[in-house]
Formats: sequence, structure tokens, C-alpha cells
Amino acid sequence: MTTADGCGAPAGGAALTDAGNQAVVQGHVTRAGAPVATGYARLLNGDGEFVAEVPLGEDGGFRFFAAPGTWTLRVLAPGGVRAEQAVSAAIGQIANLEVAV
Amino acid sequence: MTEVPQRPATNYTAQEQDSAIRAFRDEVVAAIGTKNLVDVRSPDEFAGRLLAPAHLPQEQAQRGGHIPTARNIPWSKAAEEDGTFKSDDALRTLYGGAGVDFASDTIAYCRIGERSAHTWFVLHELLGQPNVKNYDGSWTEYGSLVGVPIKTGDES
Repeated sequence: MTTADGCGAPAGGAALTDAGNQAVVQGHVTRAGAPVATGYARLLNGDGEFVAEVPLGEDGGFRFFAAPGTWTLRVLAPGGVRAEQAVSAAIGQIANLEVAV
Repeated sequence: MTEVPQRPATNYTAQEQDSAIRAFRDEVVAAIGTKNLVDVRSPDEFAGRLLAPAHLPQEQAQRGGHIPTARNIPWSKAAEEDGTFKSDDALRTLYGGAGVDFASDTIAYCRIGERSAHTWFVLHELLGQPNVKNYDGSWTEYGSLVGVPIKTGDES
């Protein structure tokens, strides 16, 4: 169940059909090809500051609605697992990340 | 897991709301430059680069930015990486270092008052600040008001 009627982060991120006028950063987290459903995806800005975090969805998915620019996607999973990827976002586009941990 | 807490069933009776811990529009506008305004959103929302937290579509308030003189102390800075609260000393250093005057009254806000409720708890319950209010209209209201001052960019 995902809802977006508060400030709370729905697991996997809010639903999306079309990037429209959004700058979307989304993707999946996998371990040995299998989805990582327990963990968090965190978006950091160009200064490395925390911007937002979502629990990973059942398919290991996450989604953010960013502003145009360069961001860092950080994955945190049980067992001290931590992975990072740089990503660029642009209005009307979907940046897809595949994060293997 | 070594200890499983017991939680017997009980009853809670709702009481009248405590309006002393809620701030409303006019009080917030009057607080500009006179009380601590603590904007607990991310730096990008504070500056006006994002209109909503980045896990939600960017389509909430009419305008981006922050209330003039507000200090940007993201709610998440009150927590350690493992999700526990920082120590009282570290919290005082965090808020004091960002320009919060502990001798003055404080209003915290975010987008809809949910993240700022976390900061309200930190300032009022953990640090014992006597007069802390949550502006639950927050940026969703303020950023759509006509005739109020708005500041954009990273400076207070």
C-alpha cells in the first residue's frame, strides 16, 4: 500500500506514469540479481546533504522527484550494506538506476 | 532480540487540542525577525529549488522558498545515522550553531507540519524549551499566501 497524502515516504516511492514536468530519479536495488526489498534509498544533494529517503519497494524499487542537477543516490540495507551512485536529473526525464549491492 | 516488551490493552481518551503548541498564519508572519523560525525541510526546499520533499511530486505550494529570517535545520540532522536522537549537547550545538536563540520563542515548520513535529519534540521535549510551536499550515499554506514576504536561496 502506497500513499502520498502526507510527508511520509511510500515504500518504493510515489506512483508514476509519466515524467511530465518532473525530474525523476528512480531505479531498483538488487543483490545477485534478486530484488533487495529491505532497505532505504536516500537522495543527497550536490553538497552531500540529506534531501529525502524512501523505504525500498517489494521489487527493490525507489523513486524521487528531484530538481534539475546532479544528485547522489545512497542505498542503505541491513548488514551495513551501503552503495552510492551519482545521477543527473532533468525536467521531463526519468533517470533510471540499477544498483547492485 | 533479547527483551520483548509487554503491551497490555488499554484505553486512551482524546482530549481537547492544545492550541498553545500550534502556530497559525498571522503569528508566523509576526514572528519574522522577532522569534526563532526553524525551517526543517531539506536545503533544496528551503532555497526554493524543490517545492516538496523529493519523494513526492513537485507540485504543492504556488511559490518556492522560505519565510524570511528562518534558519534551515533539516529535521534529519537531529538524528544519528542509526535513527536514534543525538545527545542533548549535540542538539544544543546543532540548533544554537545555526542561530536559534534559546532565550526566545520558537516556531518550527516544514511542508505540512509533519517533519516539524519531529523538531518540535526535539526542542520542547528533549531540550526542554518552554515555548515551541508547530506551524502545521507550513509551506503548503505560506507558499500560497498573497502578500507575505518570501525569501529564496540558501541564506536566511
